[in-house]
Amino acid sequence: MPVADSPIILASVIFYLAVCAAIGVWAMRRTHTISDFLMAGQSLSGYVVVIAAMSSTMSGFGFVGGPGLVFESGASSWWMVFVVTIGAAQSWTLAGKRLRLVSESREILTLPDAVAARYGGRMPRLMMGLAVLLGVLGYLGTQVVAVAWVLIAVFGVSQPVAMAIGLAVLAFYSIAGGILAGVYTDLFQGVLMVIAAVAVFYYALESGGGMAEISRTLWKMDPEFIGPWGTRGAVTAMGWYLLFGLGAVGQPHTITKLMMLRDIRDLRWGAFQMGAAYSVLALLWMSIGLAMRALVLQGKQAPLENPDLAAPTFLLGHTPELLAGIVFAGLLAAIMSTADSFLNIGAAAIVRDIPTALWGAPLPRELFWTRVVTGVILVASALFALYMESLVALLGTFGWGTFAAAIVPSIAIGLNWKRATAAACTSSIAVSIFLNFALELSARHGLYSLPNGLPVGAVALTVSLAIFVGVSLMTPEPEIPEDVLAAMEV
Amino acid sequence: MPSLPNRLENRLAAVLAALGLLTVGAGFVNALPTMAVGLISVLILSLALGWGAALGLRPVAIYLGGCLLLYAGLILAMIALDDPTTAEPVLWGGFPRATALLVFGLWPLGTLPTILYGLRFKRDILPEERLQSFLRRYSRHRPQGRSSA
Repeated sequence: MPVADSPIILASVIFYLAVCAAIGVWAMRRTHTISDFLMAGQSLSGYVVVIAAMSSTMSGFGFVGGPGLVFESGASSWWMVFVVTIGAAQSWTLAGKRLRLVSESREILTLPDAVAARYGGRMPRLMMGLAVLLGVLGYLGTQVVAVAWVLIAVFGVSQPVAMAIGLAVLAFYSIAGGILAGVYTDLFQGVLMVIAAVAVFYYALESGGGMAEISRTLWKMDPEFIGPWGTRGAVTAMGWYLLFGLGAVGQPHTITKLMMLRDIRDLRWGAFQMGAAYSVLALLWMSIGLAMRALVLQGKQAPLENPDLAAPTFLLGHTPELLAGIVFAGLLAAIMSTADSFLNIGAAAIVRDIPTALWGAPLPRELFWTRVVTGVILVASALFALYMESLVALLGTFGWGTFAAAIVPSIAIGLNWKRATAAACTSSIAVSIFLNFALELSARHGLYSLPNGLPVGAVALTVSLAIFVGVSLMTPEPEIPEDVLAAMEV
Repeated sequence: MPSLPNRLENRLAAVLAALGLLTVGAGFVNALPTMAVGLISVLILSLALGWGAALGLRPVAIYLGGCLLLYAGLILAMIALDDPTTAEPVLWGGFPRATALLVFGLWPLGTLPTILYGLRFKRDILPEERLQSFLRRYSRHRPQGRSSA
C-alpha cells in the first residue's frame, strides 16, 4: 500500500496533532467540574455547536468508512449521508428545544439524566446508561480502526502499532480535556474540512475524467453500482435512509451538544446550517469511492487491499501534497474529537448514570473516575472492533443503530408525547439492545440474516418504537414533573 | 409550539409506530413502493409530532404534507426510472437518471423542513413570551438574574 513519503504531508499531520494536543492542554486547564467536563459548562455559541455536531457525526465513519463503502458497493451508502438534511430537522425539531429547556430547569449532564427527569424511577436511567455504553463500544471502535488506517497510510506502520499509537493519542487527548477539547478541535478541523472537501471533490472528478466518464466506466462494470441503490440494493438503501434519518435524533454525540448551547435561540437556523455544512463534507464521502473504483477499472490505480484504504490511497496518489496533508490531519483531528465525545459519554454512563440508577448517587470523586474509566473504555472498544472485523462504515452503522433504537423512542418521542411511560421506556430500550446484538451476532455466525439486506438497526429501531408506543398505551398515564411538562408545552 | 391535544398525540404516535412496522415489513417482502412511502411517512410524521399544536396552522400542515408528497414521489420515480438492463445509461448531470434524482433531488430538497423550522421559529416554535414565561418559573439561574437559555 502507498505510504506518505512527502515532508509536506508528514509536517501537516505532525503540526495538526500538536495543535490538538495544545487544545487538550488548554481545555484541561479550563475543566474544573464534571459539568465542564461533560457539558462544556453550557457555554457554546450556535455556530460552535453546529460545527462540532457536524464534525463528530462525520468523523472516521464518514472520512474513512464512507469512501470505503462507496468503493465496495457504489451508491448504496449515499442514502446514509444524503439523509442528513432531514436528519438534522429531526434532531432539532424533536430534541433540541425540549432537551435544552429541561437542562435549564435541572442539571442535566447526560441522556440518562434526561430520561430520569422525564420518566422518574431508576430503571429508565439504568437501561439508558447501558444502551449508551454498548453503543459507545461500537461507535468508538469505528474511530479506533479508522485512526489505525490513517496512521498505516501516513507512517507505514503495522496495524497493531498503528492501533497502539492511536489509542495512546486518543487517551491523552480525551482524559485531559473532556468535552471542551473535543468541541474546539471540532471547530478547528470542521471549518478546514469543509473547504478541503470541495477541493477533494474536484480532484476526484478530474482524476476519473469527469462525472459522466466515471458513470460510464462504472456502468460498464456493473450498472447497479452507479444506480440509485448501489450493489446492496433498494431495501438496504431505504433501510439506511430510515435508520440515519429518524435515527439521527438518537445520536448522543449530536443531541447532547444541543444542551451545551449558551442561548436556546441559536437553535433557529442550526438545523439548516448543520444540513448544509454536512452536505459539503458529504462530497468527500460521495466522490472518492466512485473515483477510486473508476481509476482501478481504467487501469490508473492498482487494486486496493481493503476498501477502507480508498480515501488514504486516493489522497496520497491523486491530490496535491498540501491538500493531502490538510485532509489527513483533518481526518485525525475529526477522529480524535469524535472519539473524545464518545469516551466522555461512555465514561459518564459508568461513573455517573449506572451507579446513580443502582445506588442513588454517582461514584465519589466523579471527575477522577471519569478520567480513569475513559482509558478502560478505549481499550475495550479497540478489542470490540478487532472482534467485529467489519469495514469501518459497517461498524459505525452498528453503533449508530444501537443508539438510534434505544434513544429515539425514549428521548425523541417521549419528550414530545405526554402519554409515554417509564415502563415503555425501559422495555423499548431492552428490546432494542437485544435485537441489535442478537441479529448482528446471528448474522455474523451464519445463524440468521435479515432478508433483502434489510439493515439490523432499521428493524431494531422500528420494533423498539412500536414496543414503546404499545406499552405506553397499555400502562397507566404517567405523572410528569411540572418543569418537564412545562418544557414539553413551551 | 405547545403540544397537541392528548388524543391527537396518541393517534399520531400510534400511526407512527404502525408505519414504522409497515416500512420494515415491506422491506422483508421486497415491496419497494410501499417501503418508500412508508419510510417517508415515518420521517414526516415524526417531524409532525415535534411541531405539536402548530400542525393545526394551515401553512405548516401544507408545507409538511407537500414535503411528504415530494419526497415519496422522488423515490417512486427512482424506482420507475432505474433500469440497469440498458447498455448505455441516459445521463442527467453526469449521473444515470434515477441516480440524478437522488443527487440533485432528494439530497438538496431534504433541507426543506429545516427551512420551515427557521422561518417559523420565532412565531411558532419558541416565541419570546413563552420562553420568558418558562424561564421566570423554572430556570435554575433565576436568583443570579441569568436567564441565558
